[in-house]
Amino acid sequence: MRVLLVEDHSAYAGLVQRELQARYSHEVTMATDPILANRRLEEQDYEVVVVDVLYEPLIRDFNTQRLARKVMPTSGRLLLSGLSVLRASTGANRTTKTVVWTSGETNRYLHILFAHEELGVRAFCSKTAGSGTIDSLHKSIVAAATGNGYVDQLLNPYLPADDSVPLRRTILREDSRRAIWRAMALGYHSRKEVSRVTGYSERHVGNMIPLMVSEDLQLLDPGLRPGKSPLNELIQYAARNWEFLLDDTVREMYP
Amino acid sequence: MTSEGCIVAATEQLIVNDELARETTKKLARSLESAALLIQSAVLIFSTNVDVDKTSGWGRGILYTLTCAHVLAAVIVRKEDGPFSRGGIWLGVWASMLVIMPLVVAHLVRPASYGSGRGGVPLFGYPLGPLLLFAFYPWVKPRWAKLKLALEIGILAIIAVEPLLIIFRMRGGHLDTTNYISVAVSAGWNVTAYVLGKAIGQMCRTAVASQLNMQQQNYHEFFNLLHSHVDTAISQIKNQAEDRESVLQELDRLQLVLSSQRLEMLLVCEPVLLANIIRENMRFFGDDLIVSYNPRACGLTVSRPIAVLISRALGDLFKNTVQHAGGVAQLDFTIKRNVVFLDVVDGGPDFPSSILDDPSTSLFRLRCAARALDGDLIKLSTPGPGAHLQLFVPLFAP
Repeated sequence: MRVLLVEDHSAYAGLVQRELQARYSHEVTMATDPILANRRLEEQDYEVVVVDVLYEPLIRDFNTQRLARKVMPTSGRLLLSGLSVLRASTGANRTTKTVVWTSGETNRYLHILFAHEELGVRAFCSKTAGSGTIDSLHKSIVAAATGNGYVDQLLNPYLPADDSVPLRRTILREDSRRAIWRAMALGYHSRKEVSRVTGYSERHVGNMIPLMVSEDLQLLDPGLRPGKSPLNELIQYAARNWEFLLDDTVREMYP
Repeated sequence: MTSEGCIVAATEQLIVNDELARETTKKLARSLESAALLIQSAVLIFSTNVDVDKTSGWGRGILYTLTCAHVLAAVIVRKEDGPFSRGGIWLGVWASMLVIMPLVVAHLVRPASYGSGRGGVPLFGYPLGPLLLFAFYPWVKPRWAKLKLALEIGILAIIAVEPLLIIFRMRGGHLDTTNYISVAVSAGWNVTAYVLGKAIGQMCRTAVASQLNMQQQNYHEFFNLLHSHVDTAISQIKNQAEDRESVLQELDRLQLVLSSQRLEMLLVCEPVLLANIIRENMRFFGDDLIVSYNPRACGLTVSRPIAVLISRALGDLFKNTVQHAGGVAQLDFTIKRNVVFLDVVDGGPDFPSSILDDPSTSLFRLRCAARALDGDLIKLSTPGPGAHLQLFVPLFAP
């Protein structure tokens, strides 16, 4: 099978590529970041794309800009992640299947949810599955290619349950709420700053804040028990999940 | 994040001690500045009703106007940055208010009554709030620290001595004992406010230092772990590179150490993502554990005590499964009426419920931990062979 492997740790990716080719005869092309991966997708078709979620060099560069307040919600490009490759793979006229390949850390769980709910990914392979990472990856590639689902037991807890409310009806539900999330993820925490950055009035921002906790966060997380300050809850949530809230693909699909 | 990234981030955090303390103090001052203005308004009202010459209607009018101005300023400062928050030349606003207001009140009180009470001069409470702020707020850069002390003492001296000068001028240089006592009592209050401000500043620095010490301790332990286990394992692997079995064993051992450490770190900060706890406990057992039914926790978070309990429960129950039940378990969790139910079922040999009452068993200790959080650990019957344990605990503390 023709496989595109998108992984920024090139030594590790090289090892995986060699093993997949030697043991399972896959034709594996590597790309170290989403930009290169999308270029590869333009050049030729692949049967399966295996995508890591987040890319350290991109995060580091973007985070430097974010902390220096050089990024705005309307900036040309926000943070690129594996979601952009997943979206490009499943674009118009493509039959490429996708596998999300990740260790499943806390700051990736919203990406995993989004990939499942919005981008139709049904194959999730853990990078640290048991003793045979390559075997698991091969199984996930085959499952994806044949249209079957594959979910590593280590990643299953991150996926939505049948009765979960999807992201598009929680934190992504409305223009102004998304704008507020992005402003907070960029480090603007007061109502005044958020209002200035988003263009919504301070009053509107103030009205939205408690609703975003009670209607969005608590639906997404039934275990959330808000403290006295809804604003602080939002700020903390934005700080923990800024990579998702400032994801470029998420903004493209939910401006 | 790579280990390099971790080291850089750790170093950057540790060297911002002084800057962190300053920023923390500034954030406190923002909310206190508004409170200080309100206290001054209250002092003005008191003066209006007690000290001001009641025969002169315009005196009360002036003070009521000033009171309203202070209240309005308090409201504005709550929303916008006040003179303290802006810093620099803006601090002159506070300094000039502290000098001008006593002069204003001195000319509004009954003739010869300024400084004639042993409880202090009129409006002696006016400088207390600002003095407290001046004392703990980092309003000059660190390199001018010594100058700051001199300036503060200078301001304190001016505030303390000003009433004496006012009385001296108003009484033509003839001061009596009561005047000196009045000024001394007022000065005493001012010094107290200043000292209190210094104490608050020290508290802020102590709080920041404590946090950083704890962080340094954590980094220290982590570096010890890297040295004792990771570096050692890497050396072993390099030395035994030809012996594949030994290399794999060492890698497994390394994996366990990292899993264990990762689990500890996941449990440090609240809220804890339950999916992380489930994943990490499963990963700990690697290929030895197969979870045939595995629920989706999605975005559910729990408080730290509950996360610790659930992690411990999963660890103990999975260990039992691996040791006694061939390593295959079913896991389920549900939430009903804000109570989390965690069920682990395996096909191993059944055991009597009395094991939960045996203090020498880990299940007994687990049950005690659950009961401490108003939950419990119970054994349920299974339709076929195997054992079914259920842990339940309220999602929210009472």
